[in-house]
Amino acid sequence: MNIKRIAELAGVSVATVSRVVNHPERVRDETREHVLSVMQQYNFTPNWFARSLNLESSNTIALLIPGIETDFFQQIISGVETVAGNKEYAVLFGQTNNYPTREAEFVDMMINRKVDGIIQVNSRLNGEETLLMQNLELPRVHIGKNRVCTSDTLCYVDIEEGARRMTRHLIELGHKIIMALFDEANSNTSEQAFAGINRALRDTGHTIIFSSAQAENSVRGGYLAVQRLIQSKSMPEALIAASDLQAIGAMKAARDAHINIPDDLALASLTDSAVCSVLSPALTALELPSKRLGMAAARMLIDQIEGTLPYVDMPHDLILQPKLKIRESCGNTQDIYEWFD
Amino acid sequence: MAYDVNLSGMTLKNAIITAAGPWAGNAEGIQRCIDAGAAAVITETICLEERQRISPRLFMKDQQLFNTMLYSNLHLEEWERVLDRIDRKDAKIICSIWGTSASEMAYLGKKLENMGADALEISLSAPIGSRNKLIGYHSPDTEDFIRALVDTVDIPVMAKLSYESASSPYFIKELENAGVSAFSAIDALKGLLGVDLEKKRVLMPTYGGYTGTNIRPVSLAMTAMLRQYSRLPVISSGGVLHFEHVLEFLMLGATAVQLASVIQLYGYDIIYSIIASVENWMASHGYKSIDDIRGAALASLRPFEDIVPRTLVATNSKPCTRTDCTLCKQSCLKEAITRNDNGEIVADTSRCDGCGLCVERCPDQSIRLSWR
Ligand SMILES: Cc1cc2nc3c(=O)[nH]c(=O)nc-3n(C[C@H](O)[C@H](O)[C@H](O)COP(=O)(O)O)c2cc1C
Ligand code: SF4
Ligand code: SF4
Repeated sequence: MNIKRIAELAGVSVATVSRVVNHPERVRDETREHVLSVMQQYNFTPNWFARSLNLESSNTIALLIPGIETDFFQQIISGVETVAGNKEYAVLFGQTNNYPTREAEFVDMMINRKVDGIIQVNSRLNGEETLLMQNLELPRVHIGKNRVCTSDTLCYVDIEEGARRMTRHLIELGHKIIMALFDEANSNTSEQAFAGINRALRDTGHTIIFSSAQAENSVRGGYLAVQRLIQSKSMPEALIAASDLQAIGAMKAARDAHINIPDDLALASLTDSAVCSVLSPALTALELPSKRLGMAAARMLIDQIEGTLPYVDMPHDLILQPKLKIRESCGNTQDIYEWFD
Repeated sequence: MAYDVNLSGMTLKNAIITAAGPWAGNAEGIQRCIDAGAAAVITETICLEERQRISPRLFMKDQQLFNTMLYSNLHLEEWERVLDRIDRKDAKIICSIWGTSASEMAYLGKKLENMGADALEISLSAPIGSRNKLIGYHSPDTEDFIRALVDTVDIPVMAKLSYESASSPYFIKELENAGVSAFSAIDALKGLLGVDLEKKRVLMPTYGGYTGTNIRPVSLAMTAMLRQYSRLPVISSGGVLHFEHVLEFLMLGATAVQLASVIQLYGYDIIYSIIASVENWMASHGYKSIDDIRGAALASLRPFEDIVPRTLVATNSKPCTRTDCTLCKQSCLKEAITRNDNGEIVADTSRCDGCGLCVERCPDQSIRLSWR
């Protein structure tokens, strides 16, 4: 007997059965009575049913995130908040600054505050801290590509595929010396981008000279990195920046040195933001569906908390595709102002 | 008289489905479609993230309707409430969906199934906005992409095709292999309203979906073609304004027919009147079931190569001395049509090569084609 069968027997949707259990007040009286009687008749008490009866729900979820400076993280927060609000959950928020110990402390704190579930963004938990999580039955979702903390549900944006398409695009435009600036504080994302760039380099028939460097993910980081390249006379033909902030810094450094973008240096950013389209030249960038990522993570978490689903049937990995927004800074000369791949 | 239809295991009480669009973008709209008698209602396309609307978003010139609407502006949680709130009566609810990856589609589809969707329609190749062309038209990934959804859900999955994607037998085969259970065709064509010559500007800010009566011939052809390529049911969409159009699609083999622009232009009541007129027509012709007419016209559709060339020429079927009309003369590149001294239209059979255009354009049927 499962929830689907109960729904069939009761002649209602699965969602209605789940609501009878989780939010009986939202179901019409007759429907509720009817569904409950069917459940009784078939002796149906799913484990999540027991859980939601026994445990007091705090209607609170925790969001542990490395930082709040970048657009990417802000959009994730916005997405989580939106869905949590829709589902009448409050969000407790913790900024980990990429420190595993800080993250572990937060997890502890959140458990003590009886949150119903935790969303971890780019978790750094490993080793001993992971043990803590293993013994934890709390529903969890990881926003990030790996299963560092034994959470069985994760979602992420396919940066690798995005970086591959961006690199392929730069190669197609004829750039032969390509360099990537990675975010020194975000090795996880950098590794994925690097893998994608490598795939594009491998797949092309052309000989491409590729190099990479680490830089701070900020305007300053981009500025200094390009200044250094200019001074050491090792400017590439095309530069992939880790973020719009880095790219803006790179633009400023290039302008100060009378280097024309895109004629002397093609520029592209691995993250898009609202400013990219108003810069001059408009910045070619990868649009990461970060709000959608936050929304998806919150949904997957609440799915688990409410047991609203025959959970085993659900996909546990959710991958979102970024979109390459081809504008001007890469050397594209099409008349149309923006186009996409 | 029962004119019900079986679509992928679902019983539809008639052959009329309201298509994905803003008329079914919230509970009230869906309810009005149901109340007007639609056998099934397809929701506006739902995504994991809502999409804000731009204004204006509908453009029209003469009979040409264009829209720049992409995806629903409701959150998935709001859709849950919508699906809960509507009184379905005996109508089916089909959720139109889109996502950027296999797992996204699978997750969204499963959520909607659990919220009570009777079937799903993938908005595979919408003409507005930008998306991965590779998945919408043809790529090695398409099959995996669709299969992930089909394997995850336990309800029928239909693929909504653009004109381009419906034209590719190879792509159709891929979708079949992936396990879709029906095709909806066609989605809007990609279109632009025009250019303001003085201002040197396009008349709408981005490519739009071109729909309505002008795209019906394209859609009729696609229905017939899909019937030839595939054994899966076809749900026709494109340019239905009158009940006769519904019958045309059915006679070309459609399992059911979708209404879209006609609701946008004339309101929800048109749904009822089209359904009633189809049933009246069927009854008055003594047909007991849609099966009696479904695909009936396909036998008369032949490959071009099989049409035997005939030597027909234009002749007068009755004299014409109209001074207010020159359509036949204008039409003839061979200059075979002249007026004689009495002001009568005469076709010179030695010059005529039988193209038939004068006959098509004559408002009075004064000219016909006959054997040389
Ligand atoms: C205003 C408008 C909005 C539409 N929105 C959607 C949509 O969200 N999803 C979709 O698959 N099709 C959408 N369509 C396409 C219609 O469902 C239909 O396939 C198309 O309009 C062709 O049919 P018609 O010529 O009868 O209008 C929309 C059409 C219009 C006119
Ligand atoms: S059938 Fe064609 S060629 Fe002949 S008279 Fe008419 S328009 Fe001219
Ligand atoms: S098109 Fe017909 S009505 Fe018009 S002038 Fe020719 S024959 Fe007469």
